Amino acid sequence: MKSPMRLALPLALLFALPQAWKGVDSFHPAHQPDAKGVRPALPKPAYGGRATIHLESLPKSLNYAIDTAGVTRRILFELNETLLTEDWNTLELVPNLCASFESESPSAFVFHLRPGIVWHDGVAFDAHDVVFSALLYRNTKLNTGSKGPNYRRIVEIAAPDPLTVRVKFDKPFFRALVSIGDMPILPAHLYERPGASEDEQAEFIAKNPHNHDWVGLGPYKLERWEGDRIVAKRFDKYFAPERGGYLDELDWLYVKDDAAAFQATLNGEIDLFGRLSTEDYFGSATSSELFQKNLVKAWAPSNSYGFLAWNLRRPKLQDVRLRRALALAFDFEAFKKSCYRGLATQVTGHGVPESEFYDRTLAALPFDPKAAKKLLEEAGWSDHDGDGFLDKDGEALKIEVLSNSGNAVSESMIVALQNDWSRIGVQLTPLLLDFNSAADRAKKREFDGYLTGWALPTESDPEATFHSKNAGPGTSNFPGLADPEIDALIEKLQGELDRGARTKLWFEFQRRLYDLQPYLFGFSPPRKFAYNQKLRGVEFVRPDPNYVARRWYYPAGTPGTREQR
Amino acid sequence: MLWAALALVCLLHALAAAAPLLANDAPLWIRTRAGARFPAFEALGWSERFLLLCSPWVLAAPLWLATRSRLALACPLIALLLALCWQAAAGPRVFVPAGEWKRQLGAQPALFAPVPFGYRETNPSEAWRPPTWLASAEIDESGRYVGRAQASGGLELPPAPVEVRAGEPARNAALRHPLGTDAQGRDLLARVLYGARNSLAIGLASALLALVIGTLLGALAGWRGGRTDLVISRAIELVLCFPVLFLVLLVASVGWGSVSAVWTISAVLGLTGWTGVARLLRAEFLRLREAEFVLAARGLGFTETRIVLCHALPNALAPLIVATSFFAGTAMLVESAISYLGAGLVEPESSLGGLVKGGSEHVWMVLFPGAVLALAVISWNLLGEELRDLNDPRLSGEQA
Amino acid sequence: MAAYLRRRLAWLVPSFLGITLVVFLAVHLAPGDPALRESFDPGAVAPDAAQLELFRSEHLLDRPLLVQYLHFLGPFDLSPRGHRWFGGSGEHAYGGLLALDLGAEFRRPHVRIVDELGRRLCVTAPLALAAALLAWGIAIPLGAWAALRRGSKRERALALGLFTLHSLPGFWLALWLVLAFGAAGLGWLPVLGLHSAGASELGWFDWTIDLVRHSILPVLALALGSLAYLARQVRASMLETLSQEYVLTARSKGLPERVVILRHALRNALLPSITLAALILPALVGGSVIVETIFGIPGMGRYAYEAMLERDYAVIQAVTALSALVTLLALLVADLLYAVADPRIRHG
Repeated sequence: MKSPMRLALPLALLFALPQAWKGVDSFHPAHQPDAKGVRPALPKPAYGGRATIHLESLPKSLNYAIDTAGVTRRILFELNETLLTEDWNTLELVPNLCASFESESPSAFVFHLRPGIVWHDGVAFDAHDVVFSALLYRNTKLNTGSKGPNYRRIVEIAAPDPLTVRVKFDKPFFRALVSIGDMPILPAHLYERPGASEDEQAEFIAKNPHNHDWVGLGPYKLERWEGDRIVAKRFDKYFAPERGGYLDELDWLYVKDDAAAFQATLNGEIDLFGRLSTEDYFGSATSSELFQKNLVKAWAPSNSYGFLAWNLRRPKLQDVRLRRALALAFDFEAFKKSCYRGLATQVTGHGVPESEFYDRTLAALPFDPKAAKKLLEEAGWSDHDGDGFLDKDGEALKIEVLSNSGNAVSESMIVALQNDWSRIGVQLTPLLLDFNSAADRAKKREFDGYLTGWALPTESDPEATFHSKNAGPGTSNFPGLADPEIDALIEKLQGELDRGARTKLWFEFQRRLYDLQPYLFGFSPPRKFAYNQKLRGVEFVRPDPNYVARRWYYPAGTPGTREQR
Repeated sequence: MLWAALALVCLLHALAAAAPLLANDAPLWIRTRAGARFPAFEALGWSERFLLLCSPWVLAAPLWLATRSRLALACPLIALLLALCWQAAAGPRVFVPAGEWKRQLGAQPALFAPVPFGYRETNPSEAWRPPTWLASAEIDESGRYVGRAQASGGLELPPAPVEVRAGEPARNAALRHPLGTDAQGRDLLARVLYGARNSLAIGLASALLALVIGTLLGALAGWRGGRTDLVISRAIELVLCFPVLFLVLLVASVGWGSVSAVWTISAVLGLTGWTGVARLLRAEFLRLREAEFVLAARGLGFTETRIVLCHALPNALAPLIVATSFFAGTAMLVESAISYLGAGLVEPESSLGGLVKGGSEHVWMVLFPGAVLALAVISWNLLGEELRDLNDPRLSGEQA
Repeated sequence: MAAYLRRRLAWLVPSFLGITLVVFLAVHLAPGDPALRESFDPGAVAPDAAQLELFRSEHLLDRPLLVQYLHFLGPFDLSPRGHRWFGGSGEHAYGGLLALDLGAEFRRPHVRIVDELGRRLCVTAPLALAAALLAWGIAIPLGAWAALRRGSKRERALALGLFTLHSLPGFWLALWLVLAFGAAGLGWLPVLGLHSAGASELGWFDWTIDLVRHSILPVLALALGSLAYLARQVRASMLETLSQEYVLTARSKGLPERVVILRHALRNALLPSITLAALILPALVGGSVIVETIFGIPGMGRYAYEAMLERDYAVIQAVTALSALVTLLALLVADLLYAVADPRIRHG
């Protein structure tokens, strides 16, 4: 078996996305560089005004400890704060709620909190809130979903004084600092019931009205949440006023249908729309006069990639030659052109292509249907009965691909896969179901292939998705991968605290994973936005949610704004 | 007006049944070195051959209905036999990928279908193209739209030249894609034809199912009365209150299995829609039960079954056919709404509602499938109206 | 008459119970596990078995179907926190449909279903009522006029127009309304939701205007389809009435045409259509999923649909029970009115 070739670096850079998205107002027509490449000055910010942000799904609650949806996290970016935060540009962890932190040992940390931080209801924030938020993951009666295991690694957490938190993990773990830094913090004075049993405490948290009427620490405070609209007003007692918001009000509006949301954006009812399709981005919808006059189109790298997970429990899919052949038979470039107009990156591993832990030099399998057919023949699949389809031992080669309906890109990919594979004699049977049913079947492993995607942070722990101890049904290890080399690499990765050494391990992990092809790795497309031209200070950043609403403003002189906060 | 309505219904159904003949990426006839071949027909199954053979019969339905020819009723059976023989004679089906014939075509003479595109045939270089008879759809040799400004800021890959395959009209021919293309470059006219086939099939099948079930239960309820009527009326209430959408989602989540989604949705719609027919028939039979001819027939000693089938039912037939005609139209609307929400037929088998959903930002993708759907529903409703007016002279304008 | 009424009312309760039972069975036998309701997360290892068990026992998903149905029906709460007689802790002794306590949603435990239903009904019912008033308000005069001017060119054109309108798919109509009046078209009306951002800060007059502006398109979308059907019904029954002998008599008595039409013909013509009016009731409670999705209105139709997609059993059962009750009542009213009109059914 050949290993993938390594290409020279310059060629690989062709596959990386251009960097033009970086910078404040980089897409705004009034802020474009002139002939000399110099951008005009940004207008002076004024206070006041409102912006409405589009939501593609409605969060069930605003308590991120029990509701781990991505959309909840994005809203909480403005409504709550965490101990540490990822700097938008350098992606380093910087202190946020804490003034400083140090690590006493590879598995123990001390955080020194800033004084003077208050919750939205006026009560002071202190270390007890942090300790309470960490300990609630120990409550077996509370459904905290997938984050529980991370926080259960905490052996000891204590607050020696109201402004200090000491945390100790069981062993050195490369994500220890990130997990405690990123932990959602709940107001203990609203969620804690001293002296209550585990049951009562869990119920108090799960049925707490503040899951809906959230009280947090962020620059914006939830005013009300009615039906599809979440309204937040600026919180004037925010602990870092120089980093606080300019706009008086932020609204989030849920609109399920993307076409309706786009119409609403054109109409001025939505100020930021984050699900602009590729077709609209490059097509006539955004080159109309109405759009050019009132809106701006922009894009930023998303932190997600799509893939087709193979079910390695099915006997025919256990042969790696079949999986490689199917990858060789799909024309990725043509799909990239037709579906994304070239604005996407083909991924070759489990990671974000812009991250430093991703090996951009690893070349993807080329489009080679002849080689695919040869591999299939080697594996015993050829057209014995002359009906146009490959078969082996009397069984035709049919691949059943599961996916959720309602996603236009998935449907396009299934059609493209069906077409390309039919040309080498492989049948694809699509199974498009609603999200819940699809997830159900995926968990029970009732599929040959499952077309879905991951949204990842800059560096994520691959144990849940690729380690053999999670190979059973019900987990995120959809293929059921159980490879000793992968297991060893994962374990080494987890314990490696040095960034450089860890990068090398990641690169090895990526290469081995691509060789094994447990997934047909797809594309990482950028997120495309359309936003109101009147909003300035709009910067798109790598970390979720890709925009920073608290930095937006209307320029001085816009009616309804004022000089002072 | 009645014959116009009937002709329209028959025309639409005939076009739908003949879809493989009208829109196909494989040539209808090709002369190879080994002789003549008919690739378009090689890929058909026995049911599709049957439909194809039936289509002229459907098209001519107004004629033979007007002449009340009994012989014409035997035609479908003949067509079925022919189709099965044809299938047997044709040998085993060989699957040919979409567009493959066009790729392999050399200089051989070939005759293509009027719409030389298949409904599954993708053409990534021609995605989202407006109808080619519009000036804004013009594309130059390098694949760029002539009328459009370049505003992508260097992000887009340079467009690829449009791939014009053998047997297709030229790149900027006005009739290349009269309805435009969709996200994968599939011709919309071909998709509308096959989508209409699915929608019309669902309309007809669910109407027939509702007719059968409704007639049976309605007749029982109306004729027997008493306890049977009680039970059946409660059953009617039950079915009326049951959420149809939920049942469709339920059936969809179980997975269609090997049965085509078209039949599953028709079954669901038929099983939930028979209530209208049943109530109608129940009211009719309640009325007919006391009619004089029934009393006379009883007096003559005919069995109940004979009275129901030969005497009562033919009198109730007229409103029944009217109701079925309306139901077919309603079923098509319901199915298209369900598909628009995403719960009905899914890729690559689309119905007209699903086609609208696929392109809700592009006017032509909303306009054409919706217009064809509206036309189909209008034709069913018109037929029902005319049949109803036929039975009720007061409505056709004669003063008493 | 009284006997008929008594019979129908007596059957109302068993029918309702039967419907709730069938829906309950359908919901619970559908594949999909509400306990595994998390969206995927790359960090997700297998969901904690203890937490799954907790969810299941709290919502009685591990008990036999009969027990679950009785819990849903009430009035006794059979969960671990329920009535002492059934092994519960006694905290929450009564619950279920008969106790008018529908519990909390599965996916949002802090939301009580009764509260949410109230909120959504306040959105759906006024829109449906406005649509019904609009439809009837236009259909009656239009249908009457069409019957009177029968045969004229204008009437023929109107008949064709109504016919076409009736046959159009509802979602298509809504999409065209959005394209025509939204920003891409004339730009007169807002296309999303029922309130603008910041509507709560307006004075009551401006707030009402804002609400009306937002409601115009959804109400139109709801009304246009049924308007066409109703107008044709009114026309048909007007034609039938106008050919009756008493109209001829009234005319020959020398009564003014207006009196003949309004007092004699129209009143009688509308009688059969009144049974249709009873069917407005289910629409008030059911809402239209299509219109609510396209216009982004948080109504009852979407509530039920989204609950179905997420297997939120509690919501599905509650919404279906409510709409079943209203549909049964509407059917009863329609049948009663029909019986008033046609004596044969009463005694049949």
